[in-house]
Amino acid sequence: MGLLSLLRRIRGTQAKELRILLLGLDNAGKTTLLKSLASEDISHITPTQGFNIKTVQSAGFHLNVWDIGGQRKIRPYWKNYFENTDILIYVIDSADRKRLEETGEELTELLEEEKLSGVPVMVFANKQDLVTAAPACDIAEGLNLHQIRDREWHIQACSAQTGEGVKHGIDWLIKACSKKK
Amino acid sequence: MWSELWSNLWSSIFFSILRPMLKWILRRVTGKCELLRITYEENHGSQRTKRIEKSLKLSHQPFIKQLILPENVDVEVTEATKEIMKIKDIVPEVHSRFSSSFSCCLSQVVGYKKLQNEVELMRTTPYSSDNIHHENKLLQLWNLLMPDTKLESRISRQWTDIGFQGEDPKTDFRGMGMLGFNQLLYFSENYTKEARNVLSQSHHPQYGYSYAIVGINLTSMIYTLLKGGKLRTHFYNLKQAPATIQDLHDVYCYLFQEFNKFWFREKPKDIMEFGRLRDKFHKQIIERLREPRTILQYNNKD
Repeated sequence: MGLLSLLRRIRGTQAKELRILLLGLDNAGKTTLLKSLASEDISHITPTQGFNIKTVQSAGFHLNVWDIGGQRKIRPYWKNYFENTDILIYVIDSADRKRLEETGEELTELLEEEKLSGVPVMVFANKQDLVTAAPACDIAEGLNLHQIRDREWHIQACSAQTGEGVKHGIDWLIKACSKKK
Repeated sequence: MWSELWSNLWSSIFFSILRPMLKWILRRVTGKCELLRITYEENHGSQRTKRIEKSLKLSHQPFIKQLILPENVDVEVTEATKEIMKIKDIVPEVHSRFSSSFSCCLSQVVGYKKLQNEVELMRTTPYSSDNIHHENKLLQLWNLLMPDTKLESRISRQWTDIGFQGEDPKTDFRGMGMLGFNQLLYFSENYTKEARNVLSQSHHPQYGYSYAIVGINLTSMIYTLLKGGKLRTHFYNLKQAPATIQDLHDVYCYLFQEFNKFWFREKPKDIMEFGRLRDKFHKQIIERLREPRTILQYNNKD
C-alpha cells in the first residue's frame, strides 16, 4: 500500500494538468464529446444548463475539460472560464448549415479575446456520421480558419456519437501542448 | 483485498447457510413461512412490498425466483399467488388475508418493472418533426403555457420564452426523447395554473432559468430515480394498484414545483450554478426516498 501510493504520488507530480475549454453553439455535441472522452454512456444526454466538468487521463496528462452550455443566453458567461485555458476546443454541428455563419461569428469573437490570445484552438467538425454533414475542409473554408496566424489551430472531422476522429483530435491537442510547455 | 474476500465469504455463508437456518428456525417457532410472516408483520406500504420483493429475490425455489426477474413482466399475479400458497403450504382458510396482501405486493413489484420498460420505450422514441402528432402536441404546449401570445411561426426565437435553447425545440429533447416532451406537456396540461406559475418565476431577472431545459433535466433525474429502483418507496406507498405512467408524470409535476422552490431558496449567483444545485436537489430527494413512508406529492390542496 505504502509503495503504491508513493508511486502514485511520483506519477502525479509528473502528470501535467491541462485546462481545456469546450465551447460551441447549443446542440453542437459538446457534452456528448465530453462523455465520450471520459468513456461514459452517451445515450442519456440532456441540454446543458450551466456547465459540466470532467477530468480525463490521456498520455500522462490530466485533462480538466470544461463543457459550458452553448445557448445564446449562456454565452455571456463563457468569458468567466477563459482564464488559464491551455487549449480551446470549439465544436461545430457540421450538419447545421443554417447556423454555420452564427458559429463562425462566435469563434471569431473568441479568437479576439485577450485572455485567450495565443491559446491553440482545435475545431471539431462534429456529426460526420450524418449524411447531411458538411466535410471538414468546407467548414474550414467557411470559417476562414486559414487566416489564423497568431496561434496553432487544427480542424478535425469527427463523430462524438461513434467516437470516430475524437482520438486523433486529442492526440493533436496533446502534441500542441507539449510543444508549448 | 483481504477485507473484500472476507466480506464475500461472509455473505456467501450468510445467504447459503445462516439465512436458510434462521428461516427454518423461525418457521418452526412461528409456524409461518417468511412471506406469511411479512404479511402479518407489515401493513400496506413500501416496507411490506420491499420485504416481499427481497424475500422472493433470495428464494431458492426456481418458480419463485423467476417471478422477480427483470425481464419477466408477464406474471399472472392471481395464478402466481395460488402457486406460491401451494408451494409454501399456506392454507387460505387459516390465513385469509395472505392472498390479497401478497397479490397486491406482487402486482406492485411487477407493475414497477413494466413501468420501467414503458418509460424506456418512450425515452428512446425521438421527437420527430415529420410526425404530425408530435408537431401538434408541440403547438399545444405553446398554447397551454403562453395563452395570450401567438406563436408567429413554427421556427421562431419565441421558443426561448418558454425556455428552449433556440428557434427549434426539437433538438433539445435529445437523450430524453418523447419522455422529456410528454412530461413537459403533461405538467402544462394537468397542472396548468402551477406550470404557468413556475414558468413566470423562471423569468425572474436575477434567479431566472430556462424552463423547458430545466424540465428536460428533471425528466433525466426522474428517469435515473426510476431506473435505480429509488421510486419504489413512493409508488408502493402511493396506492395498492401497480404504478402507471401517469403516476410517474405526477411525480415529475411535483418535483418541478419543488425544484423551483428549492432554486429560489438557494439564491444562486447565476445560472451557472445549475449543475451543482441540481445534484444537491437530487441528493435530497434520494434522502427522502430512504424514509419508508415518503410519498412525493402535495397533500390535498395545500
